[in-house]
Amino acid sequence: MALVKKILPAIVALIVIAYLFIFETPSTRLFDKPSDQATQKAPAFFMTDFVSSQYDENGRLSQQLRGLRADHFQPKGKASAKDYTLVQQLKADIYNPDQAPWHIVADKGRATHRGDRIELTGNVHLFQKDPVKGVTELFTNKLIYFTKRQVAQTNAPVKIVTPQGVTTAKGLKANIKTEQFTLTKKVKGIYEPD
Amino acid sequence: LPTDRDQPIHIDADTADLDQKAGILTYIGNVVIDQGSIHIEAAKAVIYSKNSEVYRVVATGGPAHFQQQPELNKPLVKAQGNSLVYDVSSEKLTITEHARVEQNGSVITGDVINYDIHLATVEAGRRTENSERVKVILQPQNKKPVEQDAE
Repeated sequence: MALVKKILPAIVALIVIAYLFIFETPSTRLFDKPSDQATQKAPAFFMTDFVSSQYDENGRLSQQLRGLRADHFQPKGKASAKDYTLVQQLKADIYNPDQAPWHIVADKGRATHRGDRIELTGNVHLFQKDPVKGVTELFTNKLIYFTKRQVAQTNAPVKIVTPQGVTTAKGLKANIKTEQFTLTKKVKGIYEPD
Repeated sequence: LPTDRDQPIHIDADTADLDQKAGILTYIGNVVIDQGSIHIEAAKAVIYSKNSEVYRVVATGGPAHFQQQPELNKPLVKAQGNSLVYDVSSEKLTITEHARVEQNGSVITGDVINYDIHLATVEAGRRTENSERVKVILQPQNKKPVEQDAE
């Protein structure tokens, strides 16, 4: 009985150490960095009903972004390439010489790469109202727009409605500046004849 | 069929390029076009439109194929050539490069064949002196048995 009393503390210590190293390896518990999400739950700053305008080298309005709210996050705790902005109810107007403006509307946008890349999701609608050619519209649920190059792409299903007819496909690459659109897979078109 | 030209045009393909400025849509890869009884198969098809309407389809392939039922009780007209230009409003099909039109066993081949879809008439020729000459194979019409004279 005396022997048991003597070695009991050692047994308990052994059990605790075994538990720690078998079930709760230190690396998963003790040295875990707080997740990025934890550090920047709060945005560095936010804007509501904002308008952001960009001008070309001749001082002409080239793009204008508007939204209900934009939350700007800085995961590094200060401005860095990792910054991103979450936009609600995003509207973009794109102006180019010799063409009617193009417009993009989406429920959400996530701007990264210092605003050059915007991932648009939810009821994405890209459209142009041309006085001569009529209305051209594109519908999808996800679109990545590169603001500097004015290029948009997606691998999601898309529907393009033009005055000539309706074309559907899976995947698209669009160059808004040159007004060239490539439908990349499973293309189907229906057109009304002359 | 006479009503073909009023039917919508259905197009399937692997990919497509829309040149919004020029109003030209190019379908590429396993292109299938249907308009009423008109059926076209090609490697590539360019759709031209003006004032929001499609007015011409240029289908190319090695060869591209066209077929149509000219009238309800008439046999299919089949055509092929490396280039088919289908003028939607005038209902004319111009076939060039190894052009061939066939109906009910009768065959016409040549360098250029113009097929008037509305009138179901064919005109064949060649673009240069040394282009392919026109060949025509006409199947004899089935003659009705001659009634015996009353003796």
